[in-house]
Amino acid sequence: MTSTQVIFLITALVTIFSAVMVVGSRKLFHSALWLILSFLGVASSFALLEASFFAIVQLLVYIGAIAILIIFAIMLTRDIMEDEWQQINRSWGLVLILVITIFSVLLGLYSTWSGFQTILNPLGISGQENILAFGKSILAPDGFALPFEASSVLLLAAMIGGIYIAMDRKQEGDEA
Amino acid sequence: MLDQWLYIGIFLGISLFLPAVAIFLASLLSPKKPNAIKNSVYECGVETRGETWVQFHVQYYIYALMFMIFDVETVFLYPFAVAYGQLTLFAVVEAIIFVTILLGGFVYTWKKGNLTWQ
Repeated sequence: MTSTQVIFLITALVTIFSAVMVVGSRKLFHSALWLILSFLGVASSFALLEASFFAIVQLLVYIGAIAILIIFAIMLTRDIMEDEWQQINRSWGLVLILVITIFSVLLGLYSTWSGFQTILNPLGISGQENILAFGKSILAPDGFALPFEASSVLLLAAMIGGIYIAMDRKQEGDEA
Repeated sequence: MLDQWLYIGIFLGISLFLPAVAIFLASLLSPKKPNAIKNSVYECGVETRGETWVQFHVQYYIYALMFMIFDVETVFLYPFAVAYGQLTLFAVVEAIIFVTILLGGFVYTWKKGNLTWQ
């Protein structure tokens, strides 16, 4: 095994373990903290795949913003550290058998798919150059200009929708 | 390419290792004779009254949401900024439109008075 493979195995194990802890942790707040570690593992995987821009995006957006938003949302709930409810479903044994069956069937189906035999070619551009190429292509008229503008409309819709839901209606009623 | 990330990995390792060693050595070497005064909160802020895990005001969420949206915007603007020297006027106008559309949402929030603390 090369050192890259060892690093990949470690990050993959950390990612999977923390992802399991997200759903397994009894306290909601601890789940959110495990989620951050899981995101960090995904970011390291991106870094190992030499997709450095996506690694930074993963850090900046997922850990920097989405995890914080989730923590804020948890802090808004009434019982942050309460764990009086039963978290394990009573029929978990049956579900485990079903999930394993479906997983093995899917694995058997997908392993015959020719897409897995595709050998990925690395980009011909290295280092900072791929961000440059990305920047040029998202703004080029024959590139991804329309999806770029559409993403801003999507963000606008997300912002207005989220704020409309979170808005204090009573306060607004007083002003009107 | 991976060499650059190796430096970050080494730094991550060192930054986890050093505090862990310091805390471990301190717990190994220090004598353990606790009393009420030693265990009291010292220079850690005011002691809380009642529940520590209280429900927070919903307005924090709006700030976090705004931050997230503009964080994603930054991600899109970063490749634009890197490629700025080689871009045409069309692309720059496009980026301005991108920012302006999102600014519309900012103005909406502002006008609704969600950015003033109530």
